[in-house]
Amino acid sequence: MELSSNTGIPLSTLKLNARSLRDMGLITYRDGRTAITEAGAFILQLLESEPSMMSRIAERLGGNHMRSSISCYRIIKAVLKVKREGDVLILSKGHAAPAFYAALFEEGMIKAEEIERAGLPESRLQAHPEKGLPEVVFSSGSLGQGLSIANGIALAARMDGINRKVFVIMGDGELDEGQVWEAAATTSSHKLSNVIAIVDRNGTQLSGNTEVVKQKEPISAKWASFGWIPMEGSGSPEIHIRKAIEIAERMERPVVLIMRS
Amino acid sequence: MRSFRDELGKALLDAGSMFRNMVVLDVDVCSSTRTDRFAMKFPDRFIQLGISEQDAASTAAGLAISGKIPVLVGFSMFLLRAWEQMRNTISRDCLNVKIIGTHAGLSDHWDGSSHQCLEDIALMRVLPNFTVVCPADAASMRKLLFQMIEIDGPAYMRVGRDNSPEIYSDESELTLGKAEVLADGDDVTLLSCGPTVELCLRAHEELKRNEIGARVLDLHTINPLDEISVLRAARETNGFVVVEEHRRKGGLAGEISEFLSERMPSKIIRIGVDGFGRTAPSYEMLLDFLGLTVKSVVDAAKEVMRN
Repeated sequence: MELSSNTGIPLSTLKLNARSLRDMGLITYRDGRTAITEAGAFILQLLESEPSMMSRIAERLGGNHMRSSISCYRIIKAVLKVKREGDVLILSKGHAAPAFYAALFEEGMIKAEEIERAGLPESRLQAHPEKGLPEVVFSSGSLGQGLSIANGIALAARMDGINRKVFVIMGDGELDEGQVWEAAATTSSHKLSNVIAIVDRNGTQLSGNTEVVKQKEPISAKWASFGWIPMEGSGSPEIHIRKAIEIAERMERPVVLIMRS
Repeated sequence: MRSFRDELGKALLDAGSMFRNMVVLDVDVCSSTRTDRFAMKFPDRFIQLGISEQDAASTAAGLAISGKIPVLVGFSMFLLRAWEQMRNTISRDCLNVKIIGTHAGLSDHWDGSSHQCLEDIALMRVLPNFTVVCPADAASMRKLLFQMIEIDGPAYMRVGRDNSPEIYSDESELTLGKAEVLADGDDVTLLSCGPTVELCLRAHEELKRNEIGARVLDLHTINPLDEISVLRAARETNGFVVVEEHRRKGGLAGEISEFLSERMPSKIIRIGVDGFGRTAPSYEMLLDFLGLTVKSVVDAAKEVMRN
């Protein structure tokens, strides 16, 4: 009550935040005792280090989608590290823009002055990444479409005899969209093993816990039934992504990496 | 009588030989849209996506990003499931994707109201960057199709299933974005796109017997609008009868009304469909049933003259 009146945040919001933190596994609450989990401590560490840039960006973009960006940040960084010349990154969950812009900043692809002007009408850095930015091939913001676009790019590459990997970063909430499954069937039907899908499995979507809003599990089994090779992982996305590429090349089937955080 | 889809199948084959980076995408209707001909000749440039219009539209976007010229062909009604994909990716990023909606208007008379698309002009003409084309017959479809593939940027073409009138010949010269004056007259303008252009030509003859000079304008390209031809007709005649195999709201009549209300307010009577279509054993019977007749065009023209 006191915190609510001090900060001007409604009590209901504070309760919801607390529940979300617990659902995300960032805190534990048992026998009236609260503790920060290992993942929670890591997030705090992130907030203190480089992602302070991310929260500054998020603030300029209206303060939304910070949770989603936190879990996505390491995945984006890993893809940028793993991808070679000619490979394509598809950020299907465009609302992770703060994480994406922070990552581009660290790679030296956008300048600090530009970050200061993020979210302004004339800025390239819009609420969701748009074409015209480095590493952006399509304007995002609408969910469920990235995998289809990636398939199109992979089909064109095959026609042209180009060996090109297409990395698609999706949200777990995004899996509610029917088009994702239309696309998943296309990838496997056309044996597009150059498409590597990465699901940011942070367990949360706009209205709360993903399993409460609309059941996602068993995620791996769903992808497997669509002809994909599912891989589950936590920890370093980079190691998992390299492994996914190796498996996709060996099996000549698309691999989906479900990155839990 | 030629069939729109048979001619479409042939035109796409020829386009495939001309444009080596053209790719055709199908949503499990290739035998109905006649893209199966293309699939036979160019199997490596034909992509089957199953009954997944949204996936198909975004896949086309991916192909365009990679420098291909994707041509997505499906029933106009069901391609509209992918309107949001067309809006948010193809239109917003101005991608070189060509979309051909077949079985448009009332042409799919057998299949009834679920298949008879009466909203596509309304929905497609509002999208920035999209060229929107509705050819009157098979011969003009072929001409406009090649031009539509040649330009860089998104384009939508709506065509009927069969039942193509014969208005143009294979030698006719048509230009995308430029309306055709098919009959002269200074009393009233009969403006149309698609097969109903032929209805206007017959109404023109009927009106001539009543000593009314009706100009017939084929506005095959809705976007970008041929403002000069429309303004000239507004200046030189007493008003318009707009005829279309489309909902009376939002389509060609909507475009003309919006434009003229700003530039040269004119009397406009709209002939089209209210409500939904029906199953009918013939295309002509369905048009008659819904009031898309020579008589209604003639009556509307006389109504314009009374004002």
